[in-house]
Amino acid sequence: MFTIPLYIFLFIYLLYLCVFFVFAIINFYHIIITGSFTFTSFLVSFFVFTLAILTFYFTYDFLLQINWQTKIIILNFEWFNKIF
Amino acid sequence: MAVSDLIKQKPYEKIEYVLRRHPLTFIPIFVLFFVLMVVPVLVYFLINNLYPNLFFVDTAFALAILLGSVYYLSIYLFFYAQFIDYYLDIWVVTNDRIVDTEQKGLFSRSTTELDLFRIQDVTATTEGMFKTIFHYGDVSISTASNNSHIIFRDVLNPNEIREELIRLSHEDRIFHQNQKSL
Repeated sequence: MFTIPLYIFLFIYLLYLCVFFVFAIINFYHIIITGSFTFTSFLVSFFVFTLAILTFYFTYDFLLQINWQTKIIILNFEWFNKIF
Repeated sequence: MAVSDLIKQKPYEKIEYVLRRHPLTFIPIFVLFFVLMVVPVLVYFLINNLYPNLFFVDTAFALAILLGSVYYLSIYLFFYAQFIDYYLDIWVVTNDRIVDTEQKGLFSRSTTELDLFRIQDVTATTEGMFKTIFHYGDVSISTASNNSHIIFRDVLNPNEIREELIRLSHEDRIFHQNQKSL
C-alpha cells in the first residue's frame, strides 16, 4: 500500500501560486512597458488582483482546520484483489 | 512609460491618433469568463447531490478546495492574458508615420512602421451586423511597394479614420516635396 501525506498537495499548490504570480507580473509588466497604463487597464488589473486576493483568502480560510498530516492512499493492492 | 516613448517620438512629430480595437470585441471573452466562473458552482451542486457525504471527508474537502482555487486562479490568468492580447494591439498615427504594435500571446510582439507620404491605398471595411450597428471595422493601408501593409483591426469609425489618413498622407507628401525643393 502506498500512501502520501496530504501536505504534498499543499506544496504543489504553493508551487502553482509561484507560477501564477510570475505570469500575473509578466502581464502587468507588458502594460507598463507598452505605455498602456490607462484607467481601463488599471481597472482590469485591479479586478484581476482583487479576485486573486479574495480567492487566496477563502482558500486559506477553508483550509485552516485541515489536518495536513493525514495520509492519502494512492495505491492499494487490495483493490486489484477484489477485481479477480 | 508613455506612448511617445513606445514609438520613440521625434521632436517634430505630433501624435494624431492612438487607436485600439473596439471594446465590443472583448465582450465574448468577458462572457466566457463568467461562464467559466459559474462552472465549479454547478459541479459542486452536482457532486453534492450524487455523493452528499463526500465533502465531510477532510481529505476530499481539502483537495476540492485546492483544485477549485487552482481553477479560479487559472481563469483569472487566462482573462488577464486575453485582455493584454486585446489591449496591447495599438496603432499610433502621427503627422509623419503609422506605428503598428501587435501583441501576439504573452511572449510575442511585432512592431511595423509606415511613412505617411508612402501611403498609396487606404481601404475601410465594415462587415457584419454588429460592426455595422456599432460603427467599427478594419482599415487597410498599403504602400506603392506592397511590402508594407498595415491593418487597423476593429477600430471605431473606420471610414473617418480612412479620410483622416488620406488627409495626413497628403499633408506629409506636400511637406516632403517642400523639403526636396529647398
